[in-house]
Amino acid sequence: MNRALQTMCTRLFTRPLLNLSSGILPNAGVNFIPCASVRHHKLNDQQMRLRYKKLHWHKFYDDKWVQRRGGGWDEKITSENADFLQEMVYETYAEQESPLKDGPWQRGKFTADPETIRTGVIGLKLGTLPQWDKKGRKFYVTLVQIVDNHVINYTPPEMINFRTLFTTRPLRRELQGKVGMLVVGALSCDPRKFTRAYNGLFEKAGVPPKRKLTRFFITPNSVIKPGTPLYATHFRCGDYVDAQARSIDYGFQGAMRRYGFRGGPSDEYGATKFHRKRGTVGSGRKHKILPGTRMAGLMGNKLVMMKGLKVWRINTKYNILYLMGPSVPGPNHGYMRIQDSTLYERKKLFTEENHPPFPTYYRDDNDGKPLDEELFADDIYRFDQPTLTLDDVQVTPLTSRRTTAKTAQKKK
Amino acid sequence: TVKLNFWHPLEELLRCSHVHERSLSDLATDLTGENISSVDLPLIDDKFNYIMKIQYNSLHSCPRCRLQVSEKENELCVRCFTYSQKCIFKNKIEQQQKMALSFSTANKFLLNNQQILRSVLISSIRYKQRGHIPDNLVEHHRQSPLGKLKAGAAVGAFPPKNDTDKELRSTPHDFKYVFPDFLPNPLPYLRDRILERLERRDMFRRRQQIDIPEFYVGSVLAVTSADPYAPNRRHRFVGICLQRERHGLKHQFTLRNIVDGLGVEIIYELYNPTITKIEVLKLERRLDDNLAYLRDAPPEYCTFPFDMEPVKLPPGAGVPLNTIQVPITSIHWQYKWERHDLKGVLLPPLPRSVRKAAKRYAEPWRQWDIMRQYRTEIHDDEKAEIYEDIEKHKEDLAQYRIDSKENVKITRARPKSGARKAIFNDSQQSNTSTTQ
Repeated sequence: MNRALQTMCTRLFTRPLLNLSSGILPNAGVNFIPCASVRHHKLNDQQMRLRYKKLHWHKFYDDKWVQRRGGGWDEKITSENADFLQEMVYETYAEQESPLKDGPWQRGKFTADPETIRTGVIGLKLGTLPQWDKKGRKFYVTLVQIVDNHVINYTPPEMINFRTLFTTRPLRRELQGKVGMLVVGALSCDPRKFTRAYNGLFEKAGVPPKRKLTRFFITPNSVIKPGTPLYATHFRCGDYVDAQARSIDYGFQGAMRRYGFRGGPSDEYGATKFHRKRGTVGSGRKHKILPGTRMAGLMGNKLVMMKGLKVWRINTKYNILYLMGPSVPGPNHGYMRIQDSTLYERKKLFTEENHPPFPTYYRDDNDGKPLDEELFADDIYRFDQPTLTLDDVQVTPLTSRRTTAKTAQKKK
Repeated sequence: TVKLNFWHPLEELLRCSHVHERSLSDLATDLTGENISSVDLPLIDDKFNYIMKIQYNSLHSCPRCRLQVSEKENELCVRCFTYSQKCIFKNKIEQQQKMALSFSTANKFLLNNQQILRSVLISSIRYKQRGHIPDNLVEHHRQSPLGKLKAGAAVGAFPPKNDTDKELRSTPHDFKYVFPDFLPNPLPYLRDRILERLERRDMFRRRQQIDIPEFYVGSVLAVTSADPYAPNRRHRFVGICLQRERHGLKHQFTLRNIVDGLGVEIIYELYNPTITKIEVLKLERRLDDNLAYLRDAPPEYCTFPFDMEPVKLPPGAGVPLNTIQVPITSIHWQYKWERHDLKGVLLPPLPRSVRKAAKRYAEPWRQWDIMRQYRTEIHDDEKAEIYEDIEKHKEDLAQYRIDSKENVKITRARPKSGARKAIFNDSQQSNTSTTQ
């Protein structure tokens, strides 16, 4: 998708498609809300190689990472010793003083003018469910559970070398030099599974080592102290969110499956050796195959970002977000990065008076009262409400369409 | 024994089936309490008019419906109406004879089975994906003590799944027949415990608002839904239920009727909030799970008048089984019905080639396919959890109904209008009416 088309689509989808504020239904009788979110187009392999001038550009940062997996050999210890070791592991993390004992860092102020970027969160994709809105229209919703997230580390912008940075989410030029880097981890594990170097990363946070780590680039005013847990209530119902994940791996697939080419007819029509092929590969004149020609190859297993997903519901007990659409990338039980949306029309909804919990939702935020187990957006139908009787819905009366001849006649 | 004096329609139904030899008296002996696991309809004063009382039968012998048939020759299983030749429980010599396949057929059997096994594997596992964790690890992390040790624990405060006090509740034997929407996702890798729990919660909440009765494929329903384009803001459709698909909140059923000479089918989502009322006008079962062949049948088998009176069944009666054999008279068929192993269909005389092809595509081993049966059921370890939810829902519903009866004040705050009045009356009726 070329750049022009992409910007056009972004602008199109961020404006409200249907005028939901008024009680008028469109005449077409739409009973289904399609997920109007944008798939962010990443640069393809060839463009990335040109940019980074390396053949194996995806192994860019391997030598900078710490060896992760450790243990795994049979230590041949008795069962009582094994139980004892397990208990010791739990005790060390229970007794360890949380860095939060001195209280969290001072909470910054949300500023709209120099823009503010909050952290994101790591979630686990659970699956899809149908939900209905108050007009009786059905849409699908993806459940994402935020299990065991903690902030691990913060580096201020002065300490980051932006020239050598390589990220899962492209960093805008104007932000380089102004954003700090926050490392967030999910799913605590036994430290015996990892190397000492990896476990050392978590000492500052005072948290058991995590299975999955990511970086989030944030403005310095939204900094969070390492060791703070992150919950699903970091987002509010009705806000918009970007979800990034690695798409499902389909393996080596032909052009028909991969790019949706039409292929050829079946054998019934006498087609000789042309059923699922790509067809022609070049033009008549140029004696070469243009780089970027779409052919068979590995499909899926790429980082994909879905932008502008609405948060319809939040379950605070299990820390689950209900995100709009069934088309969230990734397989079930796959990791996802979730952040506030960067779409222009959604970002400008955040003002100094109306912004999500900043820098994050802390446990004591709700004046000490426990939160409701389920939080809903305004326009969703809750199942404990009475049946939807669409009595107060005004329907535009059917009028015959005026042709140009008739309008001309009328003008006379 | 059950008194059958009032059960007149069944006699007529029996007459149009193949079974001419059997009489009502035979049926009487079949319907004894020891013989069948009957599904009782609720009594008038029963509040839980959508949950059935089931008599659990200890011996289950028929492979299709696990019903014990008495020791008689040429006996029919009353629930699934398969002939005793096909049942494997009795007359083991016959069974062994049938199972002893010849060499060539055995080869074909194995080959076909391989394909089946492969498809089973593909549907039950997902090839290893990057960036996803196996199911057991997900559960481990949800309940891991490492996540809950600190005061600022990030994991929610839900109680862990107790394995110690697992008293296997007696789930109704016919659970999957009465609640097909509570059956699990057929694809195992798309299943998640928390997802299903939240889904069930939504389903129970919806069942508190509206009375979702028990119905089967072949019963005649009347569904009223809110339609802003209709003059009275309500759209009522009567039809015979052709099929029930999907699991959970997505559960759908199709109703077919012939309106002004034109066949009309409407697919309703069971949990759609715009559905105001679901009435069962005629509760019965048919011999098949899918009645799509009615599209190719003569129109009298699908026509039901919109002002049809509900057929009242006596309390304590089982769900009647309509053994009607529908003739397919249409010239062009939608599917090749001869290959589908349909019980309730009277096929016209077919050319020999068609019959041979049907034999070739037949899959007689399906009745012994345990894995398929396994995948359509809820298993014991999950049954406990689900039935626990249902019991809790029963209590909640009872409480809700008590509360609503005590506190309801009928006031006309809103101005009277024709449409509003109709709705009010309907809602009152639905609270007190039952599926009888």
